[in-house]
Amino acid sequence: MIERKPLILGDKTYKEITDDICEPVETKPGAGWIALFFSAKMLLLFYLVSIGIIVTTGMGLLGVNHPVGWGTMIVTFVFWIGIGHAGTLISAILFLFRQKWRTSVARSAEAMTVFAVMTAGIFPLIHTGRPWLDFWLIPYPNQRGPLWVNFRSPLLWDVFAVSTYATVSMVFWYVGLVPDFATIRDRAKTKLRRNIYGALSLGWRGTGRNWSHYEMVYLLLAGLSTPLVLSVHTIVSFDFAVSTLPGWHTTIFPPYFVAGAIFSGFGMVVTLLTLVRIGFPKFKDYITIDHMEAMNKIIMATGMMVGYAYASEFFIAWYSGVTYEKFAFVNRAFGPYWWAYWIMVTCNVLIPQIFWFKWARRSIPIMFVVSIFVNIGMWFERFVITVTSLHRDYLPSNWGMYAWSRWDAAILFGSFGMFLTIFLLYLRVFPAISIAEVKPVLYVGKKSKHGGKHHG
Amino acid sequence: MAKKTLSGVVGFWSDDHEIVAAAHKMREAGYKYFDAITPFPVHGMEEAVGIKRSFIPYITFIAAVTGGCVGLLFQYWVAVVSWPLNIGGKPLFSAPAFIPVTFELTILFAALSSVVAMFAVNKLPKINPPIIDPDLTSHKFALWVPETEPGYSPEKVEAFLKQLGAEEVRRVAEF
Amino acid sequence: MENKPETQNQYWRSLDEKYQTPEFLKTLENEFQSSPLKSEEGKDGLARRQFMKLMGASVALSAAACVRRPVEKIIPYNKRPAEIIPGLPNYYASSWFDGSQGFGLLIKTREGRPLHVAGNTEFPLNGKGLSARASAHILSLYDPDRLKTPVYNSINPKGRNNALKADASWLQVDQKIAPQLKKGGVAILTSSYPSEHTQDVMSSFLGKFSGKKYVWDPLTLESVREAQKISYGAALVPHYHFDKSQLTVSLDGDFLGTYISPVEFTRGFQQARNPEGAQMAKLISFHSVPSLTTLNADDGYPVAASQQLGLALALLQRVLAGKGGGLTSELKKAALSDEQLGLENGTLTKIAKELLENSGRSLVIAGGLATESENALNLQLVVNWLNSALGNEGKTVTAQGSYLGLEGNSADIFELLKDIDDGKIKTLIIHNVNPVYGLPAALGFVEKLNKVEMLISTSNWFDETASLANVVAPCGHPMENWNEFEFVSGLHVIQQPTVRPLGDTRSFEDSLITWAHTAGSDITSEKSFFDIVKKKATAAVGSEEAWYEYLQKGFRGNSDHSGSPRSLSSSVASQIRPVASKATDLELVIVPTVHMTDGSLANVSWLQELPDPVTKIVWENTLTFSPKTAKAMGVENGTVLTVDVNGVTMKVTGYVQPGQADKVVGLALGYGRTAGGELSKNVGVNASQLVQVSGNKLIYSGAPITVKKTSEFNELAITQGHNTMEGRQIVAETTFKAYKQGQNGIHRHKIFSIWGQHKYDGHKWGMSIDLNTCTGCSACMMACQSENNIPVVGKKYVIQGREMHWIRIDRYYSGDEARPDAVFQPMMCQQCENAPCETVCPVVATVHSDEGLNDMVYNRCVGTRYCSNNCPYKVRRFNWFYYDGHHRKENLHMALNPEVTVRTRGVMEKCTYCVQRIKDAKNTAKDENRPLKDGDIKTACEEVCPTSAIVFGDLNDKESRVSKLFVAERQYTLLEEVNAAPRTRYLAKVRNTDRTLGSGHDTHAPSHDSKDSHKETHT
Repeated sequence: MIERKPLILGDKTYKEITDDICEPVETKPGAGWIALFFSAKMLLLFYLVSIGIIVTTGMGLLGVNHPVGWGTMIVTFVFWIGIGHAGTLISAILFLFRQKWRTSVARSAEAMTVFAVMTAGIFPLIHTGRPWLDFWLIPYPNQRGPLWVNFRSPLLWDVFAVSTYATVSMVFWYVGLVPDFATIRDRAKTKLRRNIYGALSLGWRGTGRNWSHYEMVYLLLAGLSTPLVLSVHTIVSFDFAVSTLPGWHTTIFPPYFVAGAIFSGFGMVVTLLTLVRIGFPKFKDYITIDHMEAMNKIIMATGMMVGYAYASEFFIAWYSGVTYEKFAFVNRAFGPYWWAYWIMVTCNVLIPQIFWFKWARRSIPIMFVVSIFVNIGMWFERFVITVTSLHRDYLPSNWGMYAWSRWDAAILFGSFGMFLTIFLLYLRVFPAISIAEVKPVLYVGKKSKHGGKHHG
Repeated sequence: MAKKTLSGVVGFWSDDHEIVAAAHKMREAGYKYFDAITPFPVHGMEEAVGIKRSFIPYITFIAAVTGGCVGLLFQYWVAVVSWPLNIGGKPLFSAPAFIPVTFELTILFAALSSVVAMFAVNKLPKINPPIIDPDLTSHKFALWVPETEPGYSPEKVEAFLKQLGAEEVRRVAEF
Repeated sequence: MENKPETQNQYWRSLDEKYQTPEFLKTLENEFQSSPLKSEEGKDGLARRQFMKLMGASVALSAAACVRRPVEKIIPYNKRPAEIIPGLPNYYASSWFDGSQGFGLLIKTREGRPLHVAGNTEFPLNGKGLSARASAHILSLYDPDRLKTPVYNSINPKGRNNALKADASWLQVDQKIAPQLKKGGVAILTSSYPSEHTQDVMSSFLGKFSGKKYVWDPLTLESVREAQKISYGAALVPHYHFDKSQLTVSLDGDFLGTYISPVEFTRGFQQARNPEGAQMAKLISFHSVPSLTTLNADDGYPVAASQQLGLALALLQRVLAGKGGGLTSELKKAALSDEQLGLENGTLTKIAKELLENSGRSLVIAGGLATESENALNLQLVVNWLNSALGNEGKTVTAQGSYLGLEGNSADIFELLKDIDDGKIKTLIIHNVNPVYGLPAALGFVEKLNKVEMLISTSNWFDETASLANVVAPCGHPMENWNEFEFVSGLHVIQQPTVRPLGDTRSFEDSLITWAHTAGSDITSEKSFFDIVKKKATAAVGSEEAWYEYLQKGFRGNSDHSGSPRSLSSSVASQIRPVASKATDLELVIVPTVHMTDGSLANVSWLQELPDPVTKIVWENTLTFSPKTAKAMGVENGTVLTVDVNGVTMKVTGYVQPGQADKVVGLALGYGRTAGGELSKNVGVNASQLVQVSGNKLIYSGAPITVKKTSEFNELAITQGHNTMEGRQIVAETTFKAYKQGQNGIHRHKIFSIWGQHKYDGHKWGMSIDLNTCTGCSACMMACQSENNIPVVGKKYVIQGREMHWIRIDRYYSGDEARPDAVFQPMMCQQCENAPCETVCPVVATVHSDEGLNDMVYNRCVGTRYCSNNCPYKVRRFNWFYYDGHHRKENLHMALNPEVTVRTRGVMEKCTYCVQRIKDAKNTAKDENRPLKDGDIKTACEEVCPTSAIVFGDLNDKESRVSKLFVAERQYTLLEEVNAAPRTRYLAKVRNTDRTLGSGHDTHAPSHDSKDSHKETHT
């Protein structure tokens, strides 16, 4: 077999691993973290106030209008949902493929998934005209005699898909955390910590029988999450693909959206982990350059997939011979919103090409910048799909433009406040790397007593 | 079991491979109810201690099938039986449109019930259970022989564990 | 403390409550929380404050929640008037006079308040048809800015311009006026008013006080009357018979939009344009500024206003030549050639030839403000000459049934000014006109008013004129007063009040009677004007019973058009003295628009937000340029310009109008009000300030204007962003010739679906819209707005694309932008059988009824707006803010139709095919236990359409009109290939021209298989 690089650098013992990973949870935060956290929190508060005003005053504050019925909120919803996918991909799909390198990044990636889905989940709720009635989308028994929901509507599929996804990925994540909570519990110095983490660990004991069932369930969840994660963005893409609108009504959307989601997700993972590496230098031994490189490869691959999707959309539009389809796509690239389209192409297709070079793949600054561009590009992809399709459809008489207002901006940037606040808290409260999962791969790729014995 | 906790003897190792070997020997020596306590799933511990393959997958399968059926039947009942409406000129039972929800419910049922099952068999959650040694969740490994072991005598077990190479052997009042 | 809420039993929780301290009363007010959107919804600063207020409010609420509300006395309906059944509407035949055109109306009232206006179907002039204004004028009844009492202005001596307003009682007012009248020198300045009773009262009133009447209309017809006098001996406004004309040539005569009696003309015009017949009338339009008539022309030619006369003479010359006659040499000189007019060679000759071929069945018409140039009179004379030469006189133009009372004359204004100077006038009563707004400042009218001892205005608003009057004696809304009109000779129509005066107002006639009485010289033995009307009318109809029958029918008599042609006076030729127009590189043409005309209804929000049928602009009037001129001057839509006409300057926004004549700029009248309503204040600019004075005439057309660009930009609120069809089949169009050869210009699609159709036994509603007869007059939009409680959002939000109209009129241009063809397409919910909107609604808020209606369930809607996104026709409207009743100003909520839900914030709404009317008709049929007849149900839009372009009915009834139209040759489904299977279908437009059509869309003759699919779409 090919000799592989060590997954964990430095000559560490199990104890040292435990100490390293538990350090952020057991020490006082530094000035940098506090500064970041407070700015994120301010942004979050601003976000909440903005939502309050919009909900009490009306959707009219945003740029949505006639004909562009969906705008920033839906765009940003799809954006965040997409981000979520990388986490599940790493934790589930790579697990099934026995990719040992996933262990170091899985925890944070999953955390990102959970938080991204939470952030995303807000938007469908507040984008409605009467948010206080959103619960009507749930088929609950009632005395209004027969009154149910419309299972034919993609929006309802969304309700089920997104909530299922949120639940399962949260459970998956938590199950992974249980043994580590036990670790922290046992290291706890104060009674309070002991009780809190004791409760979180559900009293985990780590006997052989526990582990055997535990591993089985972990495998099952991975197996279930894989089709789930693919289905979620497929269904999100149905919101568009199932409609009659030229530019939405496209069969390529499901794979195209999933690829895009993974793409953007890995972009976000790289962004966050580069920051984590800076924040907690010790983690550099666990989240190594090799890990980052592996993810950059995936970014480039998926980037080219979405590039292919962009191209094939145009081809099919031309090949179909449908006037409206043809126009919709020409209008995307050369209509009033040409700039959005070309930002999208540049960020998603061109810039990631730099990862053909090893030095670029392995350079923290470069990958950070690229990952930021990927995030921007993917937001614009959703903007292009949503807005530029709507603003010019069948009847030229009702063509119009999206009336972007400062509230759109508030909502967009505010959502980052929410995401970052939660993520920063997580870094300090939960073990950011799976303690129980990295230990078995400690000796992978090392010349040591059991060197190479355990390559699965 | 009548008693919530048991007394017993544990031997400690600091190397995962040695403890696996030790577990093998212990089993050959006829120990039945002993178990290993490790900070992470140690490769090969199941057969060493003699744990059968987990039965949870069957539960998962049943739950999945249930979830799927519940999803599809409910949608059918709503759209055809309880509240038949002409929506967009589609037939009452618009089968293709009902697939996504059916699928999601399948996954949801399967995932949740597997986890619940796991909690159940592992008797989780436990309100702060007795802990033998805090390092057992960090870097130490242990073999644990409960009092329920047939022909259990602490001395004999202690001796045997020492002979297996336990770095430390301890009697535990309750675990 | 009168603001103390009276509570039935004086329990008190706190001393605060007991003693009703102001603080406590504040908390009481807090109980009635206002919405976060009062007037300025969306203004961010305000919204933020409102948000904070809400937060505070919630606290206040918890504090004052259980305080007893003040008792509001309500009156039970147990002593109801006999004719009113709660919940059932009453209809009254009435009428309305709008400047120059009269309407016979059927006014719907509920519990004694007028709600909706429809045409009086039997009435010969407008019949069922209405104009947009006629539908909308009901809202002016409820206008919150209307004066509720007489107003006494204490004018400070320096001049009238800063008046202090104070409400007064009629008694005070009368006693103030009477002594003044005794001094004599009374003058009445009024508009044309074709009511003999009003005229009688006026003349006898003036008789008593040695007074004099001056008549002036903003939209004057003086040159028509004058020319008629010279040509045929009698000054009158003749009756035009478009139904008898096979070829109509219009020289800036906007007879479909604003000229004399458009609704009546539109009806007649379309009667002669049935493409199924052997012949189809043709309309050729020469125009400086495009009007509704222009956009409906088969062939349109842009011609500068200064060239109108030359063009008319050129036509006349060729016509006379055709009859072996000719023009005098100096008239020949004035005649222009094709080149000079920028027409391709032979155009005029061809038109003249066609005119001659249609002698006696053609019509040449010119008129309206666009022709009120130095040459206005000459133009009318030439037109008369043409019509006589073509033998149209007595056939398509008749003196019989001429329009009465349209005697407005700018000469009167000059006479009035002179008389004021001569001190002849001590008291000036101004009724039904607004000269301070409508006359150019150059006339110095305002300054002259200072010489009048007392100025009395009878305006219902504290408008430009009223604010300068010593006394304002509001005369009330037409719907509050009695009167009787004779719009055309021999045809009398009653104006019945349909509501007690909302304010303390008194009709103009009653005021005159009272004033005369108070001044001690009675002018009538009757108690009130009503008695006069009733007495005379009863005398005319013979008996009391007949009077009541008359009230029911609404009109009596009929106009008789028979009679021999008048012979043209030989002196006409000599009377035509062309005035050489000043050489200028840019000439101004002031035009009225369909919805604003003279600006008298400027405070009606519905009209302000009604897109101008031509420009599709709302809340603004613009300086329009031809594309070429605009390019040359670098003007774009929204460029702010400073214009200068003879030293009068103003800032106005530019707009590029396809099909306008080069070197001509157009500006619409009726905007730029400065008083008389919060809503209309400073909307657009006041074009009448640019009117020119020459001799004792007012010149609206052809004045030289200089235009300078500024760096400013003013975003226009245009409801239709895009004007071409992008080569898509949206409006199917063909030429009359091609149609007769079986080419309907429709490309049909084979439709295939994996689903079967749902069955619709019972009713199956459908609608057919004839794009050939639709003139885009927009009456349907106003009728819909009034019927369905559709809110108005204002300029800011129209710019953001938030207008709420359920039915809109799409206007597309095709061909050369300098000379485009235009088509109109009414667009509302198509009630698709496979409605895409329904499939995607997660909460089943929009579903199909078993009669095939696409129902919208407002109270179930959570507002995801997915339905709107998925609607191929984009006809759904979303309530972005609170537009519902609570947030409308006082009185305005009384205009709401109780049969239609008022939608709240955050829900989707759209056209319902007037489902409330369907239910209503069904109930009626049930009560009379008979099956529903075709035509029992009329949707609001169908009801007022002058040309019956919209037809609604039951598709399961094979005999219904709509069923027949659904299998007609011209029938087609919009966006058929989407297979939404709409229940609304269109009939293709047929253009009667020899040209091959501009790039509207690629038209195919229906091939055989497409005929099959055509059939299939009916099953």
